[in-house]
Amino acid sequence: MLIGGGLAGLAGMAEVSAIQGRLRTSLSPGYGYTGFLISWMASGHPAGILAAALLLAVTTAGGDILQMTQALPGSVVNILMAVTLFAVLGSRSGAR
Amino acid sequence: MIAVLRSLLSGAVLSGTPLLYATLAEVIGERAGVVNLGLEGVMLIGAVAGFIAAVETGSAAAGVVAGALAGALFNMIFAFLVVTRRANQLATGLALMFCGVGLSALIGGRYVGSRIAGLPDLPIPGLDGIPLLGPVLFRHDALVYAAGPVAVLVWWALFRTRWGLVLRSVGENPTAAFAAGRNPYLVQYQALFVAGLLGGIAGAHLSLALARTWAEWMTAGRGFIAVALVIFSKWQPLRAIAGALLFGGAISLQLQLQAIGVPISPFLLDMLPYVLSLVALAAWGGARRHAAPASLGRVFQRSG
Repeated sequence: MLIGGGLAGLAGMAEVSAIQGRLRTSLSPGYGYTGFLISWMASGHPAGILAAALLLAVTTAGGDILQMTQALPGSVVNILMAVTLFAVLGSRSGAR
Repeated sequence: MIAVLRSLLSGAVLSGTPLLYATLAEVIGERAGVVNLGLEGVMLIGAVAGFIAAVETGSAAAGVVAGALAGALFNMIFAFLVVTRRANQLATGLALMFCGVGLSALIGGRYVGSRIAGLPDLPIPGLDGIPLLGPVLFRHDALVYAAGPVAVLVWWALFRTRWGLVLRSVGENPTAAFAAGRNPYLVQYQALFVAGLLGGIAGAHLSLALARTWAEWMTAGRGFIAVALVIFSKWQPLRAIAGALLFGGAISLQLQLQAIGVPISPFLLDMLPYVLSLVALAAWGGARRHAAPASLGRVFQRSG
C-alpha cells in the first residue's frame, strides 16, 4: 500500500510538471479511477498494464483531437473510454 | 443564531434527499448481490434528462418522471454487462460512471446556464408555522416529503414481500435461489431497474430542486457517498434515512460556514462530507462481515 501510494503521488507529479505545467484544483480528471480500470484490464500483469494504459491513453488523446477539430465537448472522451471499456468488459464473459 | 441553525437543518433535509434516494437505489441493488459503482453516472443521466424534460415541457413533474426513466434505462447497460455478460461489477461500475459523465455532458451541453422554475416548494398548511420545526421539515418540495415514505416502502418491499424475499435470497446465495426454482438473472435485472429509477430521481432532485440548473458533473461525488452510506446504514433502508440526514448535514454545514464567511479554506470545507465518510467507514466498516449480503459482487453461473 505504501509503494502504491508513492506511485500514485508520482503520477500526480508527472501530470503537474510534464503535462499541465501548473497546479490547478481539478487536476486529475478521473485518472485515479482510470488507473483502477487499467490494472483490472491487465489482471495485475505488468506488461498488460503497459498495453492497457496505452489503449486508454490513445483513446484520451484521440478524444482531445476530436474536441479540437470537431467542436465536441471535452467530456466526449469519457464516452469513448466507456465504450472501449464496455467492449472489453463484455467480451470477457465468464472468464473467471 | 437561530436563523443559522434553521437554514443548517433545513439544508440538511434538502441535501440529504438525493442522498437518500441514491442510497436506497444502491441498497436494492446490493441486496440482490450487485455492487454498482456507476451510481454517480446514473444520477448524472437522471439529472440531465430531468432538466431537459423540465425545460422543454415547462413541467418539473415531467422532469422527475423523465429522470427516473432515463436512470433506469441507463442502468440496464450495467445490468446487461454484469448479469448477462457476467462482467466484473466494480470495473463495469466505474466504466458506467465515465459513460454517464460523458453522455450527460454531451446531451446537456446546450442547456448549461438555462434556468427553470424547478420543483415548487409546497409548505404544508398548519405545520409550516411551527417554530424551527416548520421551516426545517414542512417547507420543501414534493420529492423531499416523499423520500421518507419511499424508504419505508423499500423496507417493506425488501423485508415484507415475497419479491423482496427472493431478491435477498439471490443476494445471499444465488445457487440456492436457482435450485429453488427462481431465476437469479431476472431478479437482478428487476433490482437494477428499480435502482435505476431511484438513482434517476436522486439526480433529478439535484438538478430540479437543489441547483435548479444543469452543470457538468454536478453530482460531485454524491453517487460515491451513497455507496459509502449503504455500508454505513448496514444495508437497511430505514437506517439509510439517518445516514442521509447526517451526510446532508455535513454538506449543509459546509455551505453555511462558507455563507457566513468563516475564515477556513473552502477546499478544506469541501472535504467535510468525504472526511466524514472515511471516519464513518473506519468506525463501522468492520460491521460489513455480518451485515453484507453473502454473495455481494460474486458472479453467478448457472452450471456451478
